[in-house]
Amino acid sequence: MTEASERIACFGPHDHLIGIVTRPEHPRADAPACLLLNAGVVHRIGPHRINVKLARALAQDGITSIRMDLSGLGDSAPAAAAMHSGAQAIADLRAAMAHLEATEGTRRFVLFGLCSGAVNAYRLALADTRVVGLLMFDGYVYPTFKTHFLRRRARVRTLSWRDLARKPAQWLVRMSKTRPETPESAGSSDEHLRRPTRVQFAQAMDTLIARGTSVYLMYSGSFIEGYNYDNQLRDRFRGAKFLDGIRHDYVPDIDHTATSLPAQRKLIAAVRDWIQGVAGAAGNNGSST
Amino acid sequence: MIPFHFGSPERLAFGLFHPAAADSREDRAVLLCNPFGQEAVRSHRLYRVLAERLARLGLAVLRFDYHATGDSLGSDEDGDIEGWVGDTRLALRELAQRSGSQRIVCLGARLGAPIAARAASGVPGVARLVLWDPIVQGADYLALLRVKHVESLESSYSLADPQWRLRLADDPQAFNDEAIGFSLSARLRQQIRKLGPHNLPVPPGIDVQVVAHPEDAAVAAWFAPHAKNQARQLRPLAQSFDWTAEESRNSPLVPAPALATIMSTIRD
Repeated sequence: MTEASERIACFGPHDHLIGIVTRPEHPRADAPACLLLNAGVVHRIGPHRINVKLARALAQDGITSIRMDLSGLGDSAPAAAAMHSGAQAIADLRAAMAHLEATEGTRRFVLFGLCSGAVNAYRLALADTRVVGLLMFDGYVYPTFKTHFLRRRARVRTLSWRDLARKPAQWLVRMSKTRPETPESAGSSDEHLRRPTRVQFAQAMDTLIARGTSVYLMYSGSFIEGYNYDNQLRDRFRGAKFLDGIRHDYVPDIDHTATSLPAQRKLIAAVRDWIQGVAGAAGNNGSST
Repeated sequence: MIPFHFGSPERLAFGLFHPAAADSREDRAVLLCNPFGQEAVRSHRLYRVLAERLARLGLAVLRFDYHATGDSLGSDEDGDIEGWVGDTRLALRELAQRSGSQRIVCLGARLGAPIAARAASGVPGVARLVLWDPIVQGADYLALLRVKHVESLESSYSLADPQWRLRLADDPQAFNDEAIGFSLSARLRQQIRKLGPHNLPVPPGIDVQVVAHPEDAAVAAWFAPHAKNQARQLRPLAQSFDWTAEESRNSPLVPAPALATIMSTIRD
């Protein structure tokens, strides 16, 4: 690699966390560093190595990054003290920030989280003012009536006439039923994974915007049940102040784990573009790294 | 566990060394060779657990990423089998130096099996090869990857494009250059296609243990002429591993029967 160098980082209170720092040959002076979070149980390279590909692409833009494993995931050891998984994730990510501050002099950060990584990123962004950018890929979703309608319509369109003729009564019954709304705070007994209510989510967005944190919410083509049309967020939070302060995109040609190479290229391009914007805005504000 | 880089600056590889437990009397160390692409992502957890358990039992272990895979340098498109064989030989030397062991057991799973077998050929110190679900017919493997790639797309997108199946069936060129999230260069495809029983070595002077599904006819046919004594055994493992599954699938990441069989095959 000519544009960047990579080094192994062992950090945390017991040096039990492992990460890879990708440093550009010419770091951009005004730029925050990027934390690339675990997605589910996949180790730090990310689904289909997306974190590695993204880290090296960001380095070309002058952005330093760290891809790391949270305690017990990937190659990181479990934490010494028993802590709630959500709190542990925040502590681990803060340890990464402290490491980057000590070694690279970076004091501001952007977060890229996919799936469970988006949840961890959201919580860290709220908890730590050093976070100046939050990108949640397939984070929390808030379906609307239109979401359910479009989902059913799309499913019907995938059926053949033979399917429809085979059990028409069954289909009519199913189509006539309205899917019961899941309470927004339900779905998991784990506080960490529980979806914030709409009010909580709107307040969180307001908080981040007031703080000057850039927020980008991306929704893939993998959750037709949860997010399936442009501006769904705008419909669900109609009139909310935060909508004009964040960026949100429905990207149905990218799937949840960016399986195809074109999907990977599109995702990486979108993340790069957004982070450059965050870095540029920070630079214009005269903030120091 | 000690993470480190090794190799030349332009081909820097990522490795993880698991030192043997302090009171070990073992004189063997173990090198774990990854499969390809999604299969390597999928088996990462299993390899970690395997390495930690072996280290506790007194065997030093080295895990590593081939060039252009995992955390090693290089883009997907830069990967090739000949280069990976060279990386594996380098890893064998690293392991011997770090562990001080004179006898190395080399485990290769899936595409890692032919890579490990080639790397071990003629290298002093390799005492045993353990080949797990080895790829013995490269053309069949490429065909499998095409199908699994389309299955991955179909399961990942909410609305599968019917054209994917049609292209898979009708266009032999479709879905050749990528496999479940990883690029497959023309050079790598050609190298994989050339893999066959005729050029999968069973190196002389090395124990070779093969672990495979009892109904894997290709592996059985390849290994039958070699499996003549205790040092050359085919060990059946019916409940093996879901190699190509995405992480969201509900199949175990560390299946106990597979872990137990591989552990005993390495240690026996």
